[in-house]
Amino acid sequence: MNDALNAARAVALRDLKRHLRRRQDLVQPVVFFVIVVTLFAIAVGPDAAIFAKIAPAGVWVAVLLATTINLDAMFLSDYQDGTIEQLLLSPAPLPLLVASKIFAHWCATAGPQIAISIVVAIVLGLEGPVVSALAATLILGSPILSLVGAIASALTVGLRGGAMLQALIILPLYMPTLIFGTAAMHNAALDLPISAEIYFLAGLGVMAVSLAPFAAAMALRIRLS
Amino acid sequence: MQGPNGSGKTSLIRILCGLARPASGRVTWNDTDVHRDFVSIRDKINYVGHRRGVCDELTPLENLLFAGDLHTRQTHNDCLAALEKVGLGALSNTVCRKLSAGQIQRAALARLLVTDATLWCLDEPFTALDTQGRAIIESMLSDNAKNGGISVVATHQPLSLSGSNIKSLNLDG
Repeated sequence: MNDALNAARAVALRDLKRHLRRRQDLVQPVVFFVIVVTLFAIAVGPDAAIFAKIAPAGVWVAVLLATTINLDAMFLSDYQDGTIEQLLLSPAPLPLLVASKIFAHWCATAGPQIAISIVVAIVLGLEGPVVSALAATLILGSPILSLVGAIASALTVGLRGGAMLQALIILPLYMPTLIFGTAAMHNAALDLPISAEIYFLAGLGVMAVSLAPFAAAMALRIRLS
Repeated sequence: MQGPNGSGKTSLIRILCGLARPASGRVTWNDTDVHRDFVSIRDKINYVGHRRGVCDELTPLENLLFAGDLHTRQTHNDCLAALEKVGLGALSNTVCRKLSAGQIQRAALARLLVTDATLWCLDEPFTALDTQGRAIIESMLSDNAKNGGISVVATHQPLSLSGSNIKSLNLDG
């Protein structure tokens, strides 16, 4: 048991180190996010009333797209250099090691993403309650995106055209998170309570934490056999 | 294990260590079915395949410490000694991205020295190695045999191991 936890800790620390040494993987999705939101703002035009109404949708869709293009970083390089095979052959349980990888990926990607989203929301002129609703839903929603994304990423790792396939698999699965995330922001804009959406996101999060590592581990095993 | 390209050396090795499933038949080790009871034998297997399992962004030492953590806990000094043995002592803190193919291969093979695994599954371990590197690996294989271990080696070059019992398996395409 101790050995397994030690292995899980080693995986998380190693992945964090690797992510920090490949900073372009972390910076590019953030820049991508800012560009998508900017394009969206330019396309909607200068009418502040319309913009305030649809900005939450724009920000959330941009978050989903940026997360999707970033999922490759979770397993691809480890697949290419053979580290995944070493994980499969480790005596520690694979779902635990996969959970560590997801955790490290989430720490490295979601942190900058949430911070820049809040900055962008303020720059776009969203009101205080809406910005806090965005922060709350992103903090609860981004682990779901990473966990569910890990399943698709594991299923498609190393396939030719895998990135496109991964996006096609993952974007429909992101719908519940998108629905509750944007609903919370709409409610906040109308001064309504957002606790229902928060609870739903928390529930989805618990489900993702308990199921996704097993599914992703199984998917990796299938991909490598 | 020898055989022409495409004869199934890599497939056989991957099946032996439980990474792939055979289309038919069973793999057993000490009467344990490798594919049914994968967990109980995983800590006895060490595998170095075509994909080396060495991360470009980390140093050989970091890679080795990580490999040790995945199996049983190894100390910093064990890992340094292993790198010393494969001739990477001076490069233990250089990022693997800057190393040559042969040096990466040595870093991967150093993994064999930091786990307690007794079954070594090596797929073309001599790729990119110079004669000195080759001699080091051959002496590691001999030592493993002397300590009661088994090595399954897919290779195109004849092995010269002192004092160990070599069984040769020829696969035909």
